[in-house]
Amino acid sequence: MRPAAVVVRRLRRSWHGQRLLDGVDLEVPVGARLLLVSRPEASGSLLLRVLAGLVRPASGSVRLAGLAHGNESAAGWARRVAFLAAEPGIYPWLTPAEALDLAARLAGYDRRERRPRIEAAIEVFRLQADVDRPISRGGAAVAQKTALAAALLTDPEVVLLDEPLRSVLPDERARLLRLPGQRRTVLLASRLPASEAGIVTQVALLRDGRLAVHASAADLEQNGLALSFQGIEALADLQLAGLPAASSG
Amino acid sequence: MTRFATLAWLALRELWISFRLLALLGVFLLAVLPVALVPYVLPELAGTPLGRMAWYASALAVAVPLAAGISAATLSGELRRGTFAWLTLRAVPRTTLLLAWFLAFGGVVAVGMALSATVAGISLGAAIAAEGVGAFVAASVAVAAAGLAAVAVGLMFGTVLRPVAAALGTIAAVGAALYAAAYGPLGWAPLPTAGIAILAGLGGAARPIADALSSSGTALLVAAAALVLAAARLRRADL
Repeated sequence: MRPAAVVVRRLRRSWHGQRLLDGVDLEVPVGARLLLVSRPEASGSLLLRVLAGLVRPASGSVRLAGLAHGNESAAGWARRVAFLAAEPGIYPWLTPAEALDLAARLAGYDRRERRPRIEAAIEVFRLQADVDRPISRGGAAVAQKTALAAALLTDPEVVLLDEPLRSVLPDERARLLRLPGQRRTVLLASRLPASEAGIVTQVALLRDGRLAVHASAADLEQNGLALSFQGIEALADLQLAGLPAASSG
Repeated sequence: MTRFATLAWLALRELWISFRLLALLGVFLLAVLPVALVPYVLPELAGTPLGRMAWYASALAVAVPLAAGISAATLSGELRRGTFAWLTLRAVPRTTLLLAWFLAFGGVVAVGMALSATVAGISLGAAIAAEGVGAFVAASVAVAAAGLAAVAVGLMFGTVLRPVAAALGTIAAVGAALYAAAYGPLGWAPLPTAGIAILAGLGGAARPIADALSSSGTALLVAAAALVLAAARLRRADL
């Protein structure tokens, strides 16, 4: 059995008076690509933000890539864990080249290390045409691709993606979301599960703040269920009823 | 370039591109315009040089809260637009980000005040020479220190409130402190904002340099305290 890259224990957190995480327990093995759907929808995003260290949990614990949470200055954190929100958060007046250089600089790479990483990222993310003009002129797709390129620049072990690359064309989006490869662990929160077909290997449902199901994507198929919110919810109901539906993640 | 210098440079570029750097410099330069231009444009209203120094001080009493309000709205906006989160995800400590923004704002405010005081000094040269150049410089330094304290207070408000509320709250708080320095029962006490009152009363001050230095010291202490509070709040903030 593969070791866990993400370990969440009894995680609780409210948001604007609503308990969105109510004792979440989750273990994601190394190399898994987990699709996270949730009801309320904000639960999945909140869980990823807690995992990324942007939001503090009310209680519970988190370990990512073997790192305990709470030490934001840990030198290895930025290199081992990446998070990409739906809104990239990069200054729109930066060019993709500047944004990548900034990300590499802040990650602690020296000039010799930065250059090949940035050049490789520009090529893989096909940013050549926009690399020297402000991100704002390239539109949302360039901003999102730059943000993902910056997130993957440090070759992180765990990648947290919240509704990523929605402005990128579907084929290109699927190609880029497969980039993390087999070695990395990916958690992907999505409101459109069907669009993640072929990208994810596991599915999980957060319902009313708790983990309702965590299964392999193949379990959906074996039970004749589609990769959709309804399908994942039906799988959760099957498990709840004690039927032999799925072997957990 | 160190990580801190990179972040401070990034903050300065953001201020430049968003025109807030010009606004910050502008409020201090606008404050000195009446002093510099009235003798030429409306000589009948010019009055005495010391009277114009009081105008200048009054205008600075508006400029300092405005600069602080801009800093509050900026930091609050950065927290809400996700740029702080993006930088935090690169393992940048939140306190380092706060200090980088303080350095950027503080630097611009100090430059703005230096330019403003230089123009005032040239315009009111004779009066300043009569009252003592040292007193004028000390009072100007005290105003700059008050500006730093005001910016720090603005950053503190910015970590708590939404942009408009943060700006208005900061302007009210800094404005009240300025009012207390100018008209309050404490009079010339070394309030962090007393530099403006010293500048306004330059001709009648008994010991302007000592008071200005005292005010500067208090202002820097207030700035430090506000930054400590802002950092504490920022460490617990959800990004």
